[in-house]
Amino acid sequence: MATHKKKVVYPIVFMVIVTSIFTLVLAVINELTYDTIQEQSRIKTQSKLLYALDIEYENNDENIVNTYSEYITEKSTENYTYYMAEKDEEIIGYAFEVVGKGLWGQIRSYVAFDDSFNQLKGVDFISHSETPGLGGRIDERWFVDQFQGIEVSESEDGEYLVFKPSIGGNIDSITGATSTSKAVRTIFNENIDQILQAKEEVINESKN
Amino acid sequence: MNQRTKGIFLLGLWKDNPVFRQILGICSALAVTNLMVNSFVMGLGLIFVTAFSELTVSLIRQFTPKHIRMMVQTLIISAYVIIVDIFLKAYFPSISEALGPYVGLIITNCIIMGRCESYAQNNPPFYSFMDGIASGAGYAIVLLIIAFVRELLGFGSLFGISILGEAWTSWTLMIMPPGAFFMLAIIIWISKNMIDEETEESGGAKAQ
Repeated sequence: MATHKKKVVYPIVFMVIVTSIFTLVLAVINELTYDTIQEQSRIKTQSKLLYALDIEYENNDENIVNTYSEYITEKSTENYTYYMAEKDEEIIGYAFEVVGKGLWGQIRSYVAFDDSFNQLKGVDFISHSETPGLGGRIDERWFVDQFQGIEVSESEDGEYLVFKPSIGGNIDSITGATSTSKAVRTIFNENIDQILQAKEEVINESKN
Repeated sequence: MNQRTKGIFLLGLWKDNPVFRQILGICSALAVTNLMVNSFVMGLGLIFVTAFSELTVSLIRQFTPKHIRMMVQTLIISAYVIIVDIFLKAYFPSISEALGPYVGLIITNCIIMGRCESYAQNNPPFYSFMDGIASGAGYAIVLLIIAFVRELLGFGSLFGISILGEAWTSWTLMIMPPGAFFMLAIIIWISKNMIDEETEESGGAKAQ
């Protein structure tokens, strides 16, 4: 009886002890690094917003945080949460988060407008899962930078972005990544359209 | 370094190399080898996890009830993997993002479990630790060789530094999954031929 009991109890006690030790160690490590990890992801988001809004910053953590708090305030209307950029008390732009379907998964990005919603200030991609080396190149600066200064006020059909060499084309698509390019265009065109419809709301809210 | 340690390293790095001799850890070897940086970090992660898991398993091997040893090993391995994951998230966020789910998946890497079960369970802590380093390094080296070819041909760069210049046409195939399969197969083929020759020369080949 005694040996039988030992065989059942000992492994359980052993497992409980080992598990407790490791859980404790991991909990401590997690606690110690929690703030750093939160900080890192916040800095990354902030740098992307700054980039989309075309505000210059140096690529170090401290500068990103400072520049961000100097220029950008987060606001929201009934339907939208947006980021307002101000310089010397004057509004210089608005940024919105847009999400849509890419080739393999969700593409999340920021799109930023100037103060009167006439032009794009720029965009930046937050996350995507496109094919590395093909669609994944939407991350690259040459692609992202093309969106700066595109007129968005006067399009009636909702085609704000058009790929070259079509008539009125303003963006180079990515060679070998047709689906991703199309997805990006659709996501931006649809979302820009919706945002522009709400622009009065946003402008009014920002004045308060 | 004594004779036994040398023996361990010879086995781990070459004769019993986990990737091309034991065909273990293939999944991650295929997945993260499109960039040298990713492979390097993944290799370091695996060396760390294998070495410390083996050390821990070996330290408590006399107290571990035989029939629950697998459970204990899994627990130990996952604890170390979580440590690596947290460490990368906190201090190398960009690499953590690039490796995505593969850091967490180190837990399922058969190399670690295999070494814990076949070596650490029956050997003293110091040699188990060395065996972990050797096996991990064996894995890391293969990853780096594959990544070297894939990044060089696929992006024209090494560790993100452009080597082949602008004129180079990237072999997109190399950075997509098939590129990894080709490279891995070539490495297994070459190493098999070399090791077979060695064994024959030294008269080690027994069965004809």
